[in-house]
Amino acid sequence: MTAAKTARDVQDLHLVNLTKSYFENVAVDNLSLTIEAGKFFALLGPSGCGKTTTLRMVAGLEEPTSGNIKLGPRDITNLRPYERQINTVFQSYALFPHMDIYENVAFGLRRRKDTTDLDQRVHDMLKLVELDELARRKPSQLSGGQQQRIALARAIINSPDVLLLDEPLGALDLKLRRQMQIELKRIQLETGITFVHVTHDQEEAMTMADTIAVMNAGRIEQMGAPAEIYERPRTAFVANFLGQSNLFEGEIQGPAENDCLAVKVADQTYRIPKTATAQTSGRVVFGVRPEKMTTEDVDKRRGEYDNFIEGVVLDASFTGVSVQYLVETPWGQELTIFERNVDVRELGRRGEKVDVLWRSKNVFVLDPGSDINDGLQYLGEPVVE
Amino acid sequence: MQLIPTSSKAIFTQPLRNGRSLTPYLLLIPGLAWLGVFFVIPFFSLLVTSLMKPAGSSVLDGYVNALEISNYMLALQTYWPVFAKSLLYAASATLLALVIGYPLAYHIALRGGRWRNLMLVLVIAPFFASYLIRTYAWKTILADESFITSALNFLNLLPQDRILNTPLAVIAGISYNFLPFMILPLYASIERIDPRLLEASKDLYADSNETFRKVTLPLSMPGVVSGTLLTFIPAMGDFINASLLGSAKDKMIGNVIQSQFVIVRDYPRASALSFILMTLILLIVFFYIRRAGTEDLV
Ligand SMILES: Nc1ncnc2c1ncn2[C@@H]1O[C@H](COP(=O)(O)OP(=O)(O)O)[C@@H](O)[C@H]1O
Ligand SMILES: [Mg+2]
Repeated sequence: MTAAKTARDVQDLHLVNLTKSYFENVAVDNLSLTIEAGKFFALLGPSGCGKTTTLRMVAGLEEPTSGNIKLGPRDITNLRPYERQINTVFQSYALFPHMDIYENVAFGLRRRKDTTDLDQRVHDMLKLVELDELARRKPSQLSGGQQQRIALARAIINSPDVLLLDEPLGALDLKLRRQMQIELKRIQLETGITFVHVTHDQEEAMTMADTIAVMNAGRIEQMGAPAEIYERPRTAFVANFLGQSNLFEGEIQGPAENDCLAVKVADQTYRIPKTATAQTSGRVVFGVRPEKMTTEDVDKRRGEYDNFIEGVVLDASFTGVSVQYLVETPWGQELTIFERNVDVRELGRRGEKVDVLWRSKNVFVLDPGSDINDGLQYLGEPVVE
Repeated sequence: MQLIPTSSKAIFTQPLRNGRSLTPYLLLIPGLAWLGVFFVIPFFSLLVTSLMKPAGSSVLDGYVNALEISNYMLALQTYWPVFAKSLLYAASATLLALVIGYPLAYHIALRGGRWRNLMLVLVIAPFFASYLIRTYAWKTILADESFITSALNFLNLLPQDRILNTPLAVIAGISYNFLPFMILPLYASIERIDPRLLEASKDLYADSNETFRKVTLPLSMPGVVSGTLLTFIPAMGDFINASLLGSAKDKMIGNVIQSQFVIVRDYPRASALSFILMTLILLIVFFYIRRAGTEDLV
């Protein structure tokens, strides 16, 4: 399997100015991106942002309104689904109910008349997903997790150039989902097939993908390695949708010590690293992740950090490994702080005054003109659609 | 995680079952009474009649109870060619209805869009006219000087130069009259197929042709089985089409039974023929369902 894959040179998948509209509703809006061959690529975004539509266009199940899809140098935009070396793992699994597991898995090879060693290959594939003993069962006799693995086997036995997975774990319970995430990652590494994995679960995207593209309202907001887009989000949507963020809006005052810029928020001054932005003046939006902030008794350790806010505790919840604080700033903004539970300490009480502290090197700066509330509506959205 | 006290669960696992209600059994009574009066009693009366023998030398003397098994032998001996012909006509008509009905049901179910309901109404629209009137209409449609007959004759497609009073007319009439019974179950089973399965098939390298043969058709088999049965069973006993559209040579077993009952008044023979027909249909249906239930049809 692995050998077969490396022998054929796999190709990058290019989406070029891809647009799909349903009447006046634009589902995918002039989307361009390149998905590197052999990588685990995650398309992450809230429900209705156009992920499924994008995948369906790549699979050939939906015709783009405009734009192109290329596999390497070859334009595949107008090929029929069965003419593309691309397979899909459907969210509903879509296993053929009238065929047993074996025939489901053999379906693609039989249609392509690629039946040398068919029996061997089907059994190898069933072994890869650890369900060989169920070959003669019907799909309805399998559990959700097993069906999901058969759907996967049925697709990858064809060694496609690209495997599309549309929220493949969406219907599984949390425990099984975590288990399947590891399994999927293993199979991707073993087969070397390019995986395009659609999900609205940011944790899933971050644990599995080599590259994440965050999608919003039919466009790509930001694309990059998980750590990169987490630590350096460029838009408020990414900052709020991928994890949580405390975002501030201020006016650049000018240079400050240690390669920083001084920024005035309300009537206080904060420092942001010069390297984080090309801006040297005007309005700026910057942010700090909740786990990079800490709380302390007023005026106790201000010297160790180059930024502080004296705020009022609104809420403190103890989760064991961490404490989540909600603190109100003097200008009425609510900050979220995740504090690691390193030392046994008394919880901050409601209404108590505290210092919120952070270091400027942990600050990220958003693109100019960002709206700090963008993407907040998805906070606490249920994980399963 | 133990947020719900275990005691509260126990309350819900205890079913509320105090005093079995008689209501379900009472509700069955009308149905059972109906079946008894209109099926069980006639069934046994038919059975008894089929074994009677003549009371005297004339039909007018009536019949007396007996155990004349020979009624069956004689009926079979005399009429087995008619049984064979009925079987052939009914099977041909069923096949014709399937060939015409499947594409129709397929298109209504998968391509119908917002016209779907209208098309379904059109499918059952013929039922608004009586069976007899519809069949008389076919007499006109298939008449020797009709447009259809002339056109087919012009193309030299009719071996006997006519349609009316040939087996073709009988088969066409039966197909037409029972077509809705074919289309509706087919429609129901095709409409139920998950369109995502058809997409999955295309995704897995099957073109439209193979998708139809490997996915759509096998998944619509329940509709094919019930549609063919709903057409075949009444077709087998039909006598209207044969008597209005066929010649004397095209009579089906239904015509024979009808004339034995109503004209000849040989009640034992007519009853024996009815029983043979019923048994024949039951056997055919049994073997057909057995076969359709296996994988070979898939
Ligand atoms: N067949 C369709 N007809 C009309 N609108 C559609 C259709 N499919 C998707 N849409 C719309 O396109 C947008 C994107 O949908 P989708 O790609 O399914 O989002 P996602 O998979 O990210 O949840 C949604 O607003 C949805 O309502
Ligand atoms: Mg979707």
